[in-house]
Formats: sequence, C-alpha cells, structure tokens
Amino acid sequence: MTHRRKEQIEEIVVSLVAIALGLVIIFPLIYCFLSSFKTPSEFLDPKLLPSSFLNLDNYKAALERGNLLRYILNSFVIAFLGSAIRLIFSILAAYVFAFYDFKGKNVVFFMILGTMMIPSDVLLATNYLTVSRLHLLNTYMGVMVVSFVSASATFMLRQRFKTIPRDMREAASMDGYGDIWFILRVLLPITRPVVTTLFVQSFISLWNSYLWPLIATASSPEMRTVMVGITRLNSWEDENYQLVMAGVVISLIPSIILFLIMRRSLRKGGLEGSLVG
Amino acid sequence: MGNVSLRRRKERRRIFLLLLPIVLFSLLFVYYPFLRTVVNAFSRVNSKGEIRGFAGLENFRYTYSRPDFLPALIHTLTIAAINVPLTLFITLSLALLTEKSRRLSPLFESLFSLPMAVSMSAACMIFKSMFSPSVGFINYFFSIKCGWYESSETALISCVILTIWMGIGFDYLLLLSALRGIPKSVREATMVDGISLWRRIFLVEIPLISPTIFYVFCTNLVLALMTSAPMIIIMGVSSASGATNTLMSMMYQSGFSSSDYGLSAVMSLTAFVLTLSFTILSFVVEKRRVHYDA
Amino acid sequence: MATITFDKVRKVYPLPSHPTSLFHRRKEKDEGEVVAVKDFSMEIKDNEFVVLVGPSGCGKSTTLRMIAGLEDITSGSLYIDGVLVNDVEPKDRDTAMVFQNYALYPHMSVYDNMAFAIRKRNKDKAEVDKAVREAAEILGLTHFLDRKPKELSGGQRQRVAIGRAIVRKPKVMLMDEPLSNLDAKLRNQMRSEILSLRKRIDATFVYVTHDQTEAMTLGDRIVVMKDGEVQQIGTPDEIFSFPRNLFVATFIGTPEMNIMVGDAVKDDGKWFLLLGSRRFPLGNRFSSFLEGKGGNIIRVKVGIRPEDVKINTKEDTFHGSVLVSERLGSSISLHMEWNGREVVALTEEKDENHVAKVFDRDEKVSFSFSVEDIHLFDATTDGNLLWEENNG
Repeated sequence: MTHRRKEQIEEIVVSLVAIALGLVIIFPLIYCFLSSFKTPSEFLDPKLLPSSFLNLDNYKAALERGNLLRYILNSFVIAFLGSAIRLIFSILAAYVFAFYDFKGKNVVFFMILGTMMIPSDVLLATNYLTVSRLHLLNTYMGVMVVSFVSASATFMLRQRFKTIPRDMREAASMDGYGDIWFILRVLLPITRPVVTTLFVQSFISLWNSYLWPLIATASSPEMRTVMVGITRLNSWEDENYQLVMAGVVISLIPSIILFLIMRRSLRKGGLEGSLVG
Repeated sequence: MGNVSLRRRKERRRIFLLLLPIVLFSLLFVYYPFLRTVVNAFSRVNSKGEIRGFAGLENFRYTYSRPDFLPALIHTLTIAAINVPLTLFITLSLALLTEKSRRLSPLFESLFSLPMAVSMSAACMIFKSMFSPSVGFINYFFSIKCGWYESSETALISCVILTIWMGIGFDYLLLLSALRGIPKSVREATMVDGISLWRRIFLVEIPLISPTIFYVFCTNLVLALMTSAPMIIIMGVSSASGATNTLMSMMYQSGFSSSDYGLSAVMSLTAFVLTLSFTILSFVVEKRRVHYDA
Repeated sequence: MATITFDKVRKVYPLPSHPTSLFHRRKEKDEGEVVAVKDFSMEIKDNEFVVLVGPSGCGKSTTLRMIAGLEDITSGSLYIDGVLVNDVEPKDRDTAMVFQNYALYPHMSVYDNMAFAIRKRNKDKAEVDKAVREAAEILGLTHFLDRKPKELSGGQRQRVAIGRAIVRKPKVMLMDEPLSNLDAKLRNQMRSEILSLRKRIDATFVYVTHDQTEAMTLGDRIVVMKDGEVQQIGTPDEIFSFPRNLFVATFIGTPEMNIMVGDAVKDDGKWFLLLGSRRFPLGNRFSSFLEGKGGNIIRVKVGIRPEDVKINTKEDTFHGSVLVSERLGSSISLHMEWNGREVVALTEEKDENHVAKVFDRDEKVSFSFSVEDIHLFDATTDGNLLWEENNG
C-alpha cells in the first residue's frame, strides 16, 4: 500500500469517526428539532421522527400561548442595545488604554480586568437590590444594566488598538480632529472585523442569558426574555415538551446562525486563535 | 507654561470622561455588590436587604449548621470532581482527532463547537425533556426505567452530563487552536525522527499545549463550582428538597425565595473562596507541570 | 552513508483552492498549479556534501523535504541506496533533519531533546546515554545538557538541533537553512563547525541555503536552482569559474559579476570583442565556439568579476568616475560609472599609510581587465558560450 493511499484511507476513517462523534454531540439539538414537530400523542411514544414536518401547531402555540413573539422582541432589544452600549464603553476605554499615558493607568486597567475574576452569580442578590432601588426592575434598562462592563472585550480591543501606530492619532489631532472623530473615522474602520466579532459574541451571550433576566423581570411576565419564556412553557404537571421544543428551536435560531457566521468569518480572517484564546 | 498645563488639564479631563462610563458601571455593578456581599456575610441583614448591625460570625455559624449545607457542598464538589476531568478528556480527544486540517474540518469543528451557541436555559429544557422519566428519549433508547429526578444521585448525573455538554464547544475550540499553534516543524521533526503517534501526543503535543490545558482546567473548575442554573431550571427554585442543591443554587434560593440575604451572602462567599483556593492551588501545581514558551 | 538518486523528480502544488467553508461553494477547480520542482535529476554520492542553493522560492527546500519524506513526490523516482523511497514513510528512511527554526521540543531539556529520538529504537539506557554524551561532546554542549532550549543562545540551540540529528547516526543528514537565524559572526563559526562535524560523522549531507558563501565554503558539489529548475550542478570551482548561464554567474560570487553588453566581431578571420570604443582580440578559447554560431557579428553579454577588474594599472583601457567606494575589510569595493552603467571593482590598492585607499565621489579612475578573465554569454539565451558548445 502506498504512502498516499494510506493517507487517503486515514482521511476517510478519521472523517467518518469525527462526523459520527459530531452527530452524537449535537444529538440533543437534532432531538429537539425533530420533537418540535410532534403531536402530543406522538411525543408519548418516544420515537425520534415525527410523522410529519408540516405539523406547525407547536410553533403556533408557543408563539401565541407562550407569548414568545413579545419575548423575542424583548430579547432582541436587550441583546442589541446591551451589546451596543457594552461595546461603546469598551471602545472608549480601550482607546484610552492604547493611546494615552497617564498616572494611574495601570490601576484603572487592572480594575477593569479584575471584574473578570468575580463570578457574576455572587453579585446577583446585591445587584437585584440596587436595580430595584433605581426603579429599573422590569425594564429593558434594568436587564441590560449589569452587563455593560466587559473586561474581555475591553482587553481584546486594547490589544487590537495597540497595533495601530500612535503617530496616526497624533497626526489626526494636529489636523484638529478630536478623540471621537478619530475613533469613528480611523479606528473603527480599521478594526471593524474585531469589533463586529465582539458585537456578535456579546449579542449571543446577552440573548442566551437566563438568571439575571429571570430575576430582574420576575414580577412582570410581559418583560421576560425568550430564554426565560421557554422555561415557562411547561410545568411538572403539564409536560407538553413538544411545545417547549418548538420554543427552544425558535429561541436558538438567532444564536446558532450568528455563531456559524462568526466562526466562518473568524476562520477566513485567521483570527480564530486570537478570539477564542 | 500656563498654556502647557492647560492642555494637560484638558487632556486629563478627556481621559476622565472617556473612562468614566466603564469605571462607573464596574464600580456600581461589580465591585460594590462584591464588597456588599462580603459585608453582608458579617452583618445582620433584614429582608429588605438593609444592614441592621454587626453580626460577627453568626451568619456563618447559622449557615454551616443548617442540615442542607453539607449536602449542597458535597454536590458542588462532586460535580466539579466529575465534570472537570471528564470535560478535559472529551475535548482533548476531540481536538487531537481533528487537529490536522482536512477537507471536512469546518464541518467537524462546527459540529463539535455548536453547543457553545446554545443557551443554558434552552439546553436545560432539551435535557429535561430527554431525561424525562415518563416520555424521555434516554429511558426509551437504553430501555431503562430511571426516574432521573427522583433520586439525588441520578438527578446529579443528569446535571453533570448537561454541564459537560455545555462546556464542550468552547474548550474544544481553545484546545484545537492551541494544537494548531504548535510550529509545523516540531511535528515534522517527530516524523523524521520516527517518533510514534502515542509518544508524539503524550510527550510532545500535550506538554506543549499545557498552558491551554491548564486554562481550560481552571475555567471548568470555576464553572463547575458555580453551577446553579441547571438545578434551578430543571428542578425548579421552589423544590427545596435539596436533592441537587449546590452552593450556588442554595444561595439563589435564600436570596430570592426567602430573602435571607445574610445566608445568601455566606453561600456566595463560600463558593467564591472555594473557587479561589482551588484556582490558587492549581496555580501552585501549574508552576511545576506547565511549560510555557512553545 | 548513502547514495541518493533523483530521477526526473517533480513536485507540483495545486494552487490554493483549499476548503474554506461548508457554506461556500468551492470555486472552479483547476485554477492552476505551481510547479515547485521541475524534473530534478541528480546522483548524490555516498558521503558527499551537496548544497542546494538559490533565491527563495526556487524549490530547494521542497527538494530537501522530498528526501525527508515530508513532501509527496508528484512524479519521478527518488532512490536512497538504490531503494525506491517515493512511498516510504519519513521515519523509515533513516534520514535526520535540522530545521531552520530548530524545531526543538521546548519542554524538554537538551539531553531529552537529543535522547528522545533514539530512546524508542534503543532500549538500552546506557547506550542512549553514551550516544547523547558523545554528541554533546562533539558539539560542546556537555555543560548544557540539563538546560531547556529557551535558556540557550541561538547558536547553542542550533547545536542542539544538530546534536539531535547526529545522535541517530543517520545515513542522510538534511539541513534546511540551519544558519539563517544566526548573526553573521556566529554563522561563520557554525559554518566551520559543520565542516569539522562532517569529517567526524559518516553521512551523506544535503544542505539548503540561500547564501552563496555558505554554499561555496561547505559543498563538495553545489546545485544552483531557480524557479524549480536546476541551473547548474558542479563543484564550487566549476560553478565559480564556468558558470553555465548568466543567472549562475551573477548569483555566485560577491560582489556580483559585472555584466556589459558588447559584440563579438570577426575581422580578417580573427574574432574581436567590441566593448565601448575598445577592441580586444579574443583568444582561441572563444573563437572556435563563436565560429559555430554563424555570422560575423554576434551580440554578447560580457561578464567580468569585480576581483578581475584592475584599477589604475599601466595598460589603462576604460575611464570611469567613482560613484561609491565601500570598505569591505581589507579591500575596497569601488562602484564606477562607465558608459552609462555601473562597474564594480574589488581593489586592495594601499595608500601611503598602507591602508586600503578610499576614493572620492566623482574621482576619475581608469580600469582594465584581461580578456582571459572574461565570461561570454549569448545575449538572447543568457547561456555561457563555452557551455552551449560543450553541451551541443
């Protein structure tokens, strides 16, 4: 058997094994997708395939009875605005860290990075009290407000900004252009790939967040996010999982699509390592 | 001269304004609540969250003597002890299997990392359904009649499987990019020198990516120790049975269901200190076992 | 010890049409291909030191990697000791390789780096130890055996890389630009160490470099390559004295050979070289080859090495003006303008203090050279006139 032949066989075997493992890993998602088309009676008989993929009753019910449409809107507003504000804060800070020297710079920088060390779960209770004192419970602002600070986004942007020569900002300031103009017209266009990726990442994580939105909107069902909403589609007494699965599929569509797009652009930009690590 | 200092002052004001938002919010929503938690643990706190005097170690004594504390601690440590090595083993195997770039690599990588995109609550609902004792697929497929949520052991197992599944995607991508970051010539040197596959993996590649393995180890540890959502979502907050309570889900219950902020603060602090000491411990071990400068 | 035989070895890379994404249709296939090595044929003798040299992208590294088995051979045959190795795994070829960036295992000590490759083959601990210590002795690494690569200097790392290769006592020793990451002084030192190493171990050496000085000092034979094609194979002397074409002539030797355009003219049955306003009689060396070309006037490119250009001699022939004069240690490289082109001469003319004389810009100088020292190239094919005739 020749060398090349052996490599070809290895390629096929490894590929098949990897695909099989991949299918096992995403099996829960496949299961969820298939189940979402089942009728209640089909669900009782735990076969994998539904009898028809045209049975959209569960989706209809999830959207109407579960009020998912409203929750999707809530989630979208929160994820979009939250990510935008988070990125604005991070960009401003990263810009300062990359282009200015001043006393106490390191202190502030490590203070921002330090937020990474504190698990957010520890903060839930006090933040709940703070937000309620600010009368922000059950508002979009209340849900978003705790996630405006992102140490990792600030750090990543600073690393990227540091690759841009300081001369460039000095040249702009000699021409009479200020910080904001420089950020908008020079910095962001150059660093767009990183900024977009961070935005998408942030969007996915805000879209997916659960505990805080659950707490912050506990007393106003109208303001729930979709991730909270899907857990309310059934109860121990009424296990209509097919409905839940339809809700889950709906809730996952944006994050999975964004995730796949992001991976593709990372791969193309050769940025994979830098953003994952 | 006056001109220069005016410019300096102006520049300082600009820096201040640019940094203000992120500093303000990190103080208000990260550092203040963290300090407050520490203070609460040592204070008498009423149900509105107001401090009513110094309590010394009263809260700690009360928390640690509760009958449901020890089980919660044991559950937390068990989850960590199973979860961390298993996740590492699975993700490292997957990364080694797909390390070489192949025609279908984008497909494998997307399949393996997809769980990353799935939210905690969606994953919980899917697993809750799959593990459902009455209609779940797991019982059907393996032809068993397991009442997963009825005993604390099986309920824990389902939670562990879920947390492992949630962690696979990110860890896999991290390890994969570390493996691919090993200089090509190192791998070629092993080929020319006739180093066998196993020796290459265990004596060259794994030591070389040990910083990443260590990072994955630490983040998994923190995640496992801080797990709360699966218990809350799957078991329900009110089911105070304690079957699957972890430190964090107990914290959550005491803080939000019973507004016992003192207890909640002690639980948070305990989990935090536990995490911190494990992390420090692993850093000590790391000094001897991890190789940088690849 | 081994012979290596290339028989019309060819390496073709498909142009990058690598898989980008599942969601992206692959673009039309066959966008083209790159021929990295074209029909390479050569016999490397047992125990010979062969240097592959050429500018980057000439296919020299690919050729080396094909010997190692790190690249597949597209067509043709490669034999080591008469055995066809096209399909033999790298580990079964009994070759060792020193990589450009050393490829040391950063987490292992110097000792383990060297022992790693032989531990598997040789279970006897004492023997492994002996081999490693021997190699360390040869390379002066004995005191560094416990260190990690990052604690070593560039030159020491290079020695470890070489040590790792020689402990295996391979039949074939492959070196891929091993000195290119070192500074000039270390490079000279390592060069002579490689020469003495070569005398101490029995192996066939194949060495890749882009540095012609390295090639000239190290090689028993040199293979000059360009664009995947062999330009000339020969001993350093042959390559230097009889460059087969203009590329080899200008690539080998520093400063570069001067090239001027002139005409070979037949007058009264004798051949002359017309260069500028001067006329030189061309000796018998050239005339018979020029005859074969047909015609009475032949356009030629005249090559003359800087060291063969003489300055301010008695038989002054050409007059130029100084552009730059650079001091190269004991000698001076003098750049002159003559007839609208630059001519470089290497001179050791001393001034009254016995220091090599430096010329001023625009200073008028005269220079000359002997017809015996010139190389003539066909103006259209760039082939050496002597060679073309030799090869029919």
